[in-house]
Amino acid sequence: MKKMILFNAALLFLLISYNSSAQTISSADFQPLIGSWSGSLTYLDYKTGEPFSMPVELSIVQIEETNKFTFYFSFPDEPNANSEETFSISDGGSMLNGEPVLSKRLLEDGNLEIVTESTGTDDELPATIRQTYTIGADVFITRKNVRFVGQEEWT
Amino acid sequence: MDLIEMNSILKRIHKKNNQEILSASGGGDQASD
Repeated sequence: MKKMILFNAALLFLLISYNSSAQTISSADFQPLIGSWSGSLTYLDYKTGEPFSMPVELSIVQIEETNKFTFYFSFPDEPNANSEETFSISDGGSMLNGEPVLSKRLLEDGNLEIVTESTGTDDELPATIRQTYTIGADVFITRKNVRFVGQEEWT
Repeated sequence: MDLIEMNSILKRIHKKNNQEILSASGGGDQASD
């Protein structure tokens, strides 16, 4: 009986260790992003509920040998909106931009999917915000889903 | 704030002979030109 309890405790420890290691990321996961990208950015207008897209060019560089990457956004149709943003992976890799990493998995097509989830506000309302990043050699997709407090559905 | 960024779909730009070529593979929108 004692052996059984010890075995179960060891198994539980292994499962927890495996689970936590699966929820960490590293700068190596972001290496495929370094370079130039072109595509579209879609916004949701909360006043009308209508989404609209605009073309975007993105250049991504790693800040020396750190866990930080600078994203340079360029909007051909809206040059005034050109901006840059730093993506930062925490020591230990459990956070991306200060948001806890919920999952990391390799998709069937070979792309990597990283999901972060945090609580905050969206449209000035308290909400859970989920960010999904799909990273591949030739494709980079980001998706944001929001679930407002008191609601079950994700937007 | 009324405008919320929801998603982005990007393809890698490959440079060949000083020309930028959009990757044809991947899961996003196809290049229109």
